Amino acid sequence: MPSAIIWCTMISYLLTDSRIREARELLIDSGLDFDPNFDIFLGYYEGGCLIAVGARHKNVLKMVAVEPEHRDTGIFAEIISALVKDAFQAGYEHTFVFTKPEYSQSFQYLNFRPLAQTGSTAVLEYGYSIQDYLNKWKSIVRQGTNSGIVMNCNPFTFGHRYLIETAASQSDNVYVFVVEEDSSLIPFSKRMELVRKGTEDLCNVHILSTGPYAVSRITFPSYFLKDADKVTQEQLKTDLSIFCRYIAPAFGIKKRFAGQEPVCRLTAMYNDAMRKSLPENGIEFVEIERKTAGGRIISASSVREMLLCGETEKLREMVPEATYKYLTENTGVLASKNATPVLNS
Amino acid sequence: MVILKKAQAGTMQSSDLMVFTEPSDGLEIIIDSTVAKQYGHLIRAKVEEVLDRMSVTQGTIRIKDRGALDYAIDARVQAAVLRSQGA
Repeated sequence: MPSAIIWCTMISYLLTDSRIREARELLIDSGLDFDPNFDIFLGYYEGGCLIAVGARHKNVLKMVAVEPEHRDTGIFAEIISALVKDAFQAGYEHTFVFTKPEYSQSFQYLNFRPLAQTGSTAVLEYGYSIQDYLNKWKSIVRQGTNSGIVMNCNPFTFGHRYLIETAASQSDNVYVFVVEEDSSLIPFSKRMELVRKGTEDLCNVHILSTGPYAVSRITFPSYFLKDADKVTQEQLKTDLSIFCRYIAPAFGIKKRFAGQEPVCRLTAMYNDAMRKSLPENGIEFVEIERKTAGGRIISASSVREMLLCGETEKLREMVPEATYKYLTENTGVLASKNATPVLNS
Repeated sequence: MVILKKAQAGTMQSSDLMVFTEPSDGLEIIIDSTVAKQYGHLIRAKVEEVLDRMSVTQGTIRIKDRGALDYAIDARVQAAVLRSQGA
């Protein structure tokens, strides 16, 4: 009589160093790198053996690996299912995964939608899709030869205004995408409001948010780390391919405007990438010389610096009235936020 | 009945489905399915039937289906709707 073997299976959080070390071995065996940035790490055990792992950092799933002899079973779906449910509990209904292009299809079988693919990375999303985002803004889509600008506006200055005005004079409609990622000194809702107030007289200018689809923690993570050395061509390609493939066609965008970047190396690299890849996708890249005030380039970073140094009078010639009012009324709050480790951009 | 909060039911296993609910002004059903081409209309009809039976009049129901049979759809939608009510 063969004795019955009971294979007890379970998914559990990997909490101890030794369990994480075990997971790390499984990743390395699967040709994946271990990344210490994660909120939770899950392991799938069968009869006490670790046979699959997966991690989540905020709304990004990562480090998913299944032992080779257990692939083509339901275990992959099991681990992804557990990660998505855990993300949902943590308040993230919209999740993303970065994987190798050869695994893209496995995720698509689970109803993930492909978002971008470069030579070595595929990005897929689950829960919501970029179509939901585009549908949300359908009502402001206008026919014509339109332009797009992606800006953080932290905060909105006369420099931003000049760039928008220039684009508006050369296009039927201008779509200004305000970076939604909330990693800047000024909160997103305020940045958006100040751009709206600062451009309300320009009737062919439409203000909207980027969602997670441009200069976000998903498409361009190193922008928020402020580390130019970590910028990879993969990231720049991912960000711009989403713009070219989905955003530009939906809004009839034929040109993308940006200010020249003489100071920040990271933004300069982004401009270089746009100069190269936008024309390949039939979109003209227009780089505008930066506006100056008192012989100095107007930039949001110099505005923040002046504000935090208490040189509020100098701000008058750098920012529109609404921004000036907001900054001077909230100096204390902004200064204390700056003192805590918040990323500036 | 109105969807009061975000809730979830189901799994990503083959022959199962994930159901997500969220509050909204209208009643909306959004279906993603690996078999949408062949069975999308039947999945929708089943979801509508369950919502109708439970008198759900407001909310967004998102379905991520992997070829579930109709009794699985029934059970998962019902579970998600009930979870969207309770504390």
